Amino acid sequence: MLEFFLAFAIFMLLLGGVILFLHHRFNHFRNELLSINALPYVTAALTSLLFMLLSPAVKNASLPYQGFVAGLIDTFEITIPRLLLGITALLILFSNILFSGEHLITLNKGYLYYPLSMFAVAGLLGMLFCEDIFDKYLFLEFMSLPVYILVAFRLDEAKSTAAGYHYMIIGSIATMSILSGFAVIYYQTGSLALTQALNPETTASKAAAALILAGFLIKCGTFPAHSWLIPAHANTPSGNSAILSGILIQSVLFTGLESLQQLNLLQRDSGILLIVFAIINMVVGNLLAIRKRRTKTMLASSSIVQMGYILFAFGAYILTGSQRLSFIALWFILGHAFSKALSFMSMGVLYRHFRITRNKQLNGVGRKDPYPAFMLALSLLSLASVPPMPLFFAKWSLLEAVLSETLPGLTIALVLLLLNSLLSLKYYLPQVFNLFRIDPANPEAQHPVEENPTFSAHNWMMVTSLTLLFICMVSVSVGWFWLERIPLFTALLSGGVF
Amino acid sequence: MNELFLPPFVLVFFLGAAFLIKKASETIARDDTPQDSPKFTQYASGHDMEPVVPRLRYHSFFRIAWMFGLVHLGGLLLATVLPSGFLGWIAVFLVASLGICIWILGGDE
Repeated sequence: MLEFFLAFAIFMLLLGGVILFLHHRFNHFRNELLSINALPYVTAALTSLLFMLLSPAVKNASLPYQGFVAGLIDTFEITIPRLLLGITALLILFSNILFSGEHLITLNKGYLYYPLSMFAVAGLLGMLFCEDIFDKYLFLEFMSLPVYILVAFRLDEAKSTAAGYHYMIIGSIATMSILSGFAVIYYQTGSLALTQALNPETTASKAAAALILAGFLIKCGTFPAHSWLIPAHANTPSGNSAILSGILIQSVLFTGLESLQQLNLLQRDSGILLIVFAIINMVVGNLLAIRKRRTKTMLASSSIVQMGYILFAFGAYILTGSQRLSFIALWFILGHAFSKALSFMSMGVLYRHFRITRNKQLNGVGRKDPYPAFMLALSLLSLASVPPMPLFFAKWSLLEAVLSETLPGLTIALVLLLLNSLLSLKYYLPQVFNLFRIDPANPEAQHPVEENPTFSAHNWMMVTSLTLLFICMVSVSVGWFWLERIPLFTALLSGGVF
Repeated sequence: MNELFLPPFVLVFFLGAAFLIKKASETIARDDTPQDSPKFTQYASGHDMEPVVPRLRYHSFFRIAWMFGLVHLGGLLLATVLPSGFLGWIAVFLVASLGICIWILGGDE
C-alpha cells in the first residue's frame, strides 16, 4: 500500500502546480488566493508521507519497504530517514507558500512561483525515494531545473539573474559528474540497480565513487565549489532561500552518500576526504560570514559552515562505523532545516516591513516589530548552537560520540570544529543583541529605518508560517529527549540511517 | 584506445573545451554599450562619425544564454526519460516545468 501513498504525494505536487498555473491564466487570481489554493495539494502530499510514517509497516519495523506502481513509479524504497527528510521538505514548502502569499504580493507572479516550488519538492521526493541510479539522476535534474529559475525569480535585478545562471552552470557540471559516475557503474556491471554491492578495489569503482562524490559535493556547495551558493541563496525570495538553504542541499548530500553506501563505495578514504572538506568548509564559511554586511548573505555563508558540521558527522561515521554518528548527522540536518528556514523567513518579514538588508540596520528593530525580530533571534541562537536549541543537542551528541572513539586524528578535527563553533558566535550573537538594543554609536541608529506603509507585517499568513517553523524547530529540540523512548528512533540510533 | 572514451576522460575533455569556449565568448561579448551613449548620435559639427554598433546588454545576454542552456538541458532530460520506458508520465510535468521556466525568462524586464 505504501507505494500508492508515495506516488500520490509526488503526483499531487505535480498536478497542483499545473492546475495552479492554468487556473491563474483563466481566472487571474490574486497572490494570496493563489497561495491558499496551493496549500491543499501540499497538505495532501504531507498527509500521505505522515501516514506512511505512522503506518503499521513502520511500527512493526518492517522497513525498508520496497515496491513499485506500474506506470507511475519504478523501484523505490521507503526508509524512516527518507520519510523524515521528505516531511521536513514538505513542511518548509507549506510555510514557504503560506509566507509568500503576503511576502510576494507586490511581485504578482505567484502563478509561476508556487508551481515551480512544488515541482522542485516533487523532484526532491523522487530523488530521495527511488532505488535506481538513473532515476536518481532524472529526479535530481527534475528538481534542479525549477530551482535554477527560482533563484533568479527577480529577473529585473542583474544580481539575481547572474546568480541563477551561475548556479545552473555549476549545477550542470555537478550533475554531469554524477551521471558520468553512474555511467561507469553501468559500464562495469550492466545494471542500474542501487542494491548491487560493487567491489570497491577496482579502478572503475574508484573512478565511479570519485565522480559521484565530487558531483554531489559540488551540488551541495562544498569548498571549493561554494561560489554559487552565496549569491544563489541570498538573491532569491526569502521563502525559496529557506527551501534551498534549509533542506535541498542537505537532501542532495544525504542522497549522494546513501547511494555510495548502497553501492559499497563509501570507504575509509571517503571518510577522511569528507572530514578534510568539512574543516575547510567551516573555516572558509566562517571567514566569509564574518565579512558579510548583508544579513541574507551572512545567513547564506553560514550554510557553508553548517554543511561542514554535517559533513563532519557523516565523515566520522564512515571512519568509525558508529551508527549513532550517522543518526546525529540526520538530526543535525532536521534541526538546521527549521532553524535556517525560520531565520530566512523572519528576515524576509523585516525586509518587507522596514526594507532592512544590512546587519547594522537591525539595530533596535526588535522594539518596533517584536515578533519577527524574536523569531530571527531564536533562529540565530539555534544556528549558533546555544542551549537549549536543537543544534546544540546535535553538536553535543557529536562531541560525546566522537570522544568515545579512540581516533587521535578525529579528536584533533573535533577540536577544530569546536574552535569554528566559537568563531561563528562572532557573527551570530552581535545580530541577536543588535535586534533589541539601540546603539547610539551605530550610524544606522541616527537614521532609523522607515516602515513600509503598504505592508502588513502582522498578516496571518506570515505569522502562521513563522509560528509553524518555530514549533517544528522546538519539536526537534524537545524530540532529542524522547529519542530513547520512541521505537522509530531507537531503531535508527542503533541501526544507522543508511 | 577505448579507455579514452570512458566518462571520466570525456568529462575532463568537456571541461577543457567548456573553458576555452568560455574564454572565447568573454572576448566576443565582453561588455554592453550604454544605449544612451552620445556615440549613438551622428556627430553634428561638420564631421560625420559612424555610430558604434550596439551590442546586446549583459543582462539580456544572460537571459537568452540561459534560455538556450535550459532548453538544451530539458531536451536532454526528455530524451533520456522517454526511451527509459517507465516514468513516461513525468515527461509531461517536465515539459510543464520547462514551459514555466521559459515563460519567466521570456517575460518583460
